[in-house]
Amino acid sequence: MKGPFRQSMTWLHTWSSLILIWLLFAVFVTGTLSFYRTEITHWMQPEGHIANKVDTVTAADSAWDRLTLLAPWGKSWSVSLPSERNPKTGVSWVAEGEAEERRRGPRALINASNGEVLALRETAGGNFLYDFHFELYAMPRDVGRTIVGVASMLMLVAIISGVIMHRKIFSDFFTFRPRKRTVSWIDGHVIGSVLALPFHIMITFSGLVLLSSTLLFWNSNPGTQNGGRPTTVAPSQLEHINTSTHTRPAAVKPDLAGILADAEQLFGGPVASLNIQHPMTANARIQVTSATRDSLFGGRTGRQLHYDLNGNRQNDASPGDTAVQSMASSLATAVFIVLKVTHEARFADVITRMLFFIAGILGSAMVATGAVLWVVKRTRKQAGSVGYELVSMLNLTAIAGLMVAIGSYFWANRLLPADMESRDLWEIRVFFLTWLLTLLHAYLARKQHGWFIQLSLAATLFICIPILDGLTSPVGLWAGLVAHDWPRIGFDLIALITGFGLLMSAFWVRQHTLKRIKNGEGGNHHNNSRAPIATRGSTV
Amino acid sequence: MIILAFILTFLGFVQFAMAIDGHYQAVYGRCQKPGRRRYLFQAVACLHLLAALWVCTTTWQLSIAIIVWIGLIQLAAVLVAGLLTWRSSWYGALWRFGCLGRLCADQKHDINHTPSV
Amino acid sequence: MKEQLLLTTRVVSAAVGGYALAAVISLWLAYFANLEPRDHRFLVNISFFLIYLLLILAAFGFRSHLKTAFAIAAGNAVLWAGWFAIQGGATA
Repeated sequence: MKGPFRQSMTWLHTWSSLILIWLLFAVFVTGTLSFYRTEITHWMQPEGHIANKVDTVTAADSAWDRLTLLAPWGKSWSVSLPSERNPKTGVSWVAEGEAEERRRGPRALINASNGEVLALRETAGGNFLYDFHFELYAMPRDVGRTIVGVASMLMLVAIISGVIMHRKIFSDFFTFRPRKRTVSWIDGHVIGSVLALPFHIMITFSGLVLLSSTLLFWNSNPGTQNGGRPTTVAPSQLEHINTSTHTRPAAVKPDLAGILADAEQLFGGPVASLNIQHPMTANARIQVTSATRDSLFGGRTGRQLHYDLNGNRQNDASPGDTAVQSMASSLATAVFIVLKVTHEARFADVITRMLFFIAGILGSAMVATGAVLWVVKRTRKQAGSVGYELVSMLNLTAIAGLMVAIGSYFWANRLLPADMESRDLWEIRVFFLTWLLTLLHAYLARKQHGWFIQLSLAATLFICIPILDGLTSPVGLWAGLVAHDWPRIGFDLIALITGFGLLMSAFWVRQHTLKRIKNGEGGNHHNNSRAPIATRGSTV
Repeated sequence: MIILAFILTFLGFVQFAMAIDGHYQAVYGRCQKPGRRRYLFQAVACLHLLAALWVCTTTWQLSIAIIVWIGLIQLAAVLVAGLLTWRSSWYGALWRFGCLGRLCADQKHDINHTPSV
Repeated sequence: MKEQLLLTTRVVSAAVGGYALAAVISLWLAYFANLEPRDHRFLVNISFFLIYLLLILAAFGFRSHLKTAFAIAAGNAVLWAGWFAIQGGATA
């Protein structure tokens, strides 16, 4: 603008990031958690912890037997086999006379050791966090997506203007100077941004492209529509099923062990799922999908093979292969696929997923330190002004308050009764109510050690999650560890680490505040006359 | 294999840091600059990172290997920054014994070097 | 006060005018690329965000608020007029 380009970019960086920074932090945090949404949902359905992970063959056999009772005349069946991310076996079916529904996740989950359907509590699960991060909540889908889209575009502008304005980006690469006021926050902000810059650019840009159908409404694909997303069948509806013996006579069960062995050998890895068309008939067709996603260009699922009831492999070209060819037909489509797949991380194995999670945490730190930096930089000059106080308050509720809300969400999952009516909605309500309460607290009592209180509260909630888990799950912690229930134990571990991180932050804030009070009382009366008198306990 | 890849990226960033005045001075004392050796450090660091990428491709297919590699790089960079901030003596030791420190150190100016004569 | 108004003009023109300009540029780009419908859509989506980003950065680089707003408006006018002339109003 009026000065050199770098200066304009500094202005642009400050304002484009600040406008919706609180929403951006929430999107980043919930998005980072979404990398583990399957594991989160598993943790949030403790009744399912009794289902130890079994080998693929036992799971498939068990699922087949259960499906013959659930939908003997069904048009199609689906079985999702146990994986590293979810030790339970899932079954879905389209019964005769039913329409095929687009579904997110299996229709029922079974305990493969004994074939019984698990009576899992209704939960919003990891999917609430996932949905929130791109379409928020309690508003029409397109409105939420537009808001998130606008925030994401601002984020992209902020990232690139941030890179342009940063003169010494290479010489400051590893610099972190603690125990200084503004400079430490700047360094922290830079470390979170620059060191994970490839991830941030990728995730923001791909996120925008994925929202294109809403944001670029003039370029939409005619004929697409979002289907409903029914979730797992409620336990009450499945009660009678475990005792049912109603089945279709003269059904042939294929040699699942043989089919799976053959498929695993050809895939070079485990099988993720089975899909059976016209089960229980002579022309049943079994489609086996690989769990291995060894290429970014592999499409929505892994490779697929087809078998008939006798275990013979069908030689028709798997739709997967031709789909790959047509998908990579042009550069534009290939780029789109890469963007979509890297954003959603569907291909990610354990290590890759953890690396994404870590990068997401760095990104969340980038946003949080940016927000705090804005306030810290302007404390001397603007303390007491409307804008400053507003930003300070929103910072507290958006950063510390969000962590309290997320902790409460997980606690609500375990403390609300399992058979409560619409408990999934109530879990979500607890999340938002808690967040609202932190806003109220920030408004009323921010300056009385507000950050310390909220961070400590969040820390307590997270640190006690493993204890909560052990006490409220039918399977104890030690038993879970012995059974190698890594999704659940991993969740507890990460919650514990997060809790300790929050605790350390809380005590750092307290120490820092006390030091400032001590210095402030040392006779230094440069305080802005507009600043409120009672500034004890406030740093930001 | 991924541990090997991670170690390579970590060492690579240790090298990169030495090419930066501030961190060079932290090991060798004020008023020292890496000078022309800076380019050597950077070249060797790049080789480390490329080697790490190669190691990743032995475990994963190329497109995924690249993504894993970028993830490792990000993590390694953060850890090296942390090392430089809070354990700069460990960093110095790592540089001297694990990287090119032995070969490239200007030993007369090395504040931690005791003369062997 | 006047400075605020001019700055607002620049901001609005970068945000809204930039959106429209990025849209029409990406439509023109895809028009010349001549791809299948599906690839065409992807190209528009991907290039839109890149172009919008560049336009916003550029819009805040120039000295004069008014000249920037005018440039964006002019760009829109010319390119959209051309686009409708070619298409007859329908976006492919």
